[in-house]
Amino acid sequence: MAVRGRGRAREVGEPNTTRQLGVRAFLFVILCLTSALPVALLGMSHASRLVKDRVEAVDKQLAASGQATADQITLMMLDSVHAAESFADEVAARRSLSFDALSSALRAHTAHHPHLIGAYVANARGDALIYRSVQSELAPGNGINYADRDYFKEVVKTQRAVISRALMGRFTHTWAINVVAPIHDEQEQFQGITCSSVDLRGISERARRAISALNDGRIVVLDADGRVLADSEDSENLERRDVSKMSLFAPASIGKPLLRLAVDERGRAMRGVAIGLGQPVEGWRVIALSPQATIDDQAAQVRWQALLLAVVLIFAMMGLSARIAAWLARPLQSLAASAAAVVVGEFRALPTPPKNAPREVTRLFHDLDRMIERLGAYTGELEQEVEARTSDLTRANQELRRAEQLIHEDIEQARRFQERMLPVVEPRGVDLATAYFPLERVSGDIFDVCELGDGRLRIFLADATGHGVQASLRTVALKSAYDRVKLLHQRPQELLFALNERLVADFPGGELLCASACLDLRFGQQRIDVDYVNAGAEPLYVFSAEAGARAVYTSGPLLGGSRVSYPEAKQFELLPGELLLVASDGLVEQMNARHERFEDRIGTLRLQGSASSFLSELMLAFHEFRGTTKVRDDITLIALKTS
Amino acid sequence: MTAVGIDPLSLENFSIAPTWDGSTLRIAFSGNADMDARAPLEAFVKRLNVQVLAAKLKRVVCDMRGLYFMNSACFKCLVQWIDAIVKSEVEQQYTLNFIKNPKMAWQARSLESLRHFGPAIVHIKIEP
Repeated sequence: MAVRGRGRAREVGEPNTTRQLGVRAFLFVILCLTSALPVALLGMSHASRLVKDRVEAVDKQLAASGQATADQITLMMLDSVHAAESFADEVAARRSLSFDALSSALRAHTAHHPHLIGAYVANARGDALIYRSVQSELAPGNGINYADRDYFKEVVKTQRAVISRALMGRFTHTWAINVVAPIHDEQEQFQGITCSSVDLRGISERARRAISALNDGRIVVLDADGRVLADSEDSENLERRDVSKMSLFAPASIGKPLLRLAVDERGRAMRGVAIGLGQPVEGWRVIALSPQATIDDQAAQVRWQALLLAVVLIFAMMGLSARIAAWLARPLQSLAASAAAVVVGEFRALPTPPKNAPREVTRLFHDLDRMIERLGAYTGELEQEVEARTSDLTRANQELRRAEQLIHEDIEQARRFQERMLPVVEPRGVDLATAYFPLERVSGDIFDVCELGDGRLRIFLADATGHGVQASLRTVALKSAYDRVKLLHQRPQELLFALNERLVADFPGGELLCASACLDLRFGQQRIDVDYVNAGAEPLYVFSAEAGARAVYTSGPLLGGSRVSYPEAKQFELLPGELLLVASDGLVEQMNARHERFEDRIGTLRLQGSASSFLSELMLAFHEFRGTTKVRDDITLIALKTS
Repeated sequence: MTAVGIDPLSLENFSIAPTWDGSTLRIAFSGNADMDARAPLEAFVKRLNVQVLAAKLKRVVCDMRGLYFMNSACFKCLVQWIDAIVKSEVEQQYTLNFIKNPKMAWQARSLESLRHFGPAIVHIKIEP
């Protein structure tokens, strides 16, 4: 049941809350959403930031390591060039290229520059004059010629100090680079060269130290031709490694670290920083590298750590949310329990405010206490009032039942009275039957059959408007008026005229307006002559075993409407064996579900047996015809069958 | 509402639809005039008579072709209507032209019975 009011329709009854969350669960969900979700989002954002920072840190470390290595190599090579030039000046100052003259200079040179793994002096034709390596003492040239060396040709051509490509030293038998300076005499004539060998393993060692802070880091130093001079991962076998065609090791700008992502000569994805070197080793570059896999592993580790921290925080927030939800829900649960108790009529279960509750909640509990107390008081008063009203209502119902019983008894008396008004006649030699079916307990129909003094039989049927008690009262007045005049007039039209005059005079408002029919029957030897006057009633029907049924009708004004005259009686005769049916409109006007009138069915009835059995058959046919359609009016039937 | 100010009557099973074509007021009865229709019909007829007299109409057409039942209480209302016309001043009287449904024999009988209350003003016709 829905009660309408302002806003939505309110459903009355027990609400279906099986699918709804409890207040604690509801608050828990809300708090979790408002606390854990931001933590999760912040954790994801922070993890992303940490990963980015980690990659940037690797890039910075690569750049720093590479730059440090580049600076050290540049300084070392500048120092080596200066050393070679100083050594050449020292040789020139001795004005002799004899072994003895060169010995002290070479010894001092190698002693002052311990990073050199060897040095030699050659004349202008490239013949070695003296050499020294870290593994040996001073030794003569022994016919070794360096004129075929590119660096010798370069020095002869440029008359300036040069740095060779990496090559295998003929004295040192070591993969090294040579720093070569020309020897000029006082007339600036080219006398020969000094050559100092720098061990490339030393550069690799510097690179290894520079990159040691970076896990899996690698520094590769390449010359201008892209040949590997040093490698922090592998300082051996440098002579066979040419990586000049790999994009990772391409030339780089001087002083501008350049980030590169490419594959190294071993097929590993690397993240690197390339730094170009300046004079005196222009074209050299230092490539500081870190495997991308290592960086990815570190990033994943950072991400997992951040995620783990976020999960821990989320669980912590959920725990905190559960505690807060329980704390917040407690007052509401208490209030709900009190409301539920009030619903079942328990007004003594007053809610208790939780400890440390906010001021408004405590106030709410206090107010609710007062509300429940007042509600209990009102309910008590209401129950008393209902009890009193129920008692009054019970008394009223009893009085109504008594009154109804009285009315029922009155109507029953009226019904018996109305039945007593009906004639009990058994005219001699005539098969006469009547049937009387009030729609309610009393009828709006009335009829009379009386014998006139000259042997005639007079039949009168009237149907007052309406039915029930008010119609039955009209029949009493009508019957009374009829009884006064029924024997005073010889002809039926005179009788109806007189009756109408009386009714109009007594009831000028038309209260007794009714349809009626009056017939006088005169019995002969072989037939019955009928004088028939109609006052708005339904037709008569004459049934014959041989000829079927026929309607007999004459028109005339209703009784009790106004002062009118009635037409002459219609005369017809009944032959032996025929049956005359006089019926009120309740019979012929009855309809079925198809809105057909029983009037159209009457003609199909067959005459069988006595007048009484005919009426029984007629009513059977009537009820069969109407089916479930209600009977709509009182029914009165008068059947007269001639013998 | 017609030119003479008559509102139609519409019940669950019975209705009266007045129409005015500029010269003739036509009242179409339809449905089932049983006990439920008596009081509304009585009130309608009284209002109608007042309006027709005020408009000084000389003829009202009552189309009964759609009416398949009318009980005696409702016929009483028509009798009272006819009686009211008959009792009014001669110059105010107007005719009632009932159009009956020839397929309903009860209409012919009942209307003929009505005609006795005002033979001069009640006419019964058949229209296609």
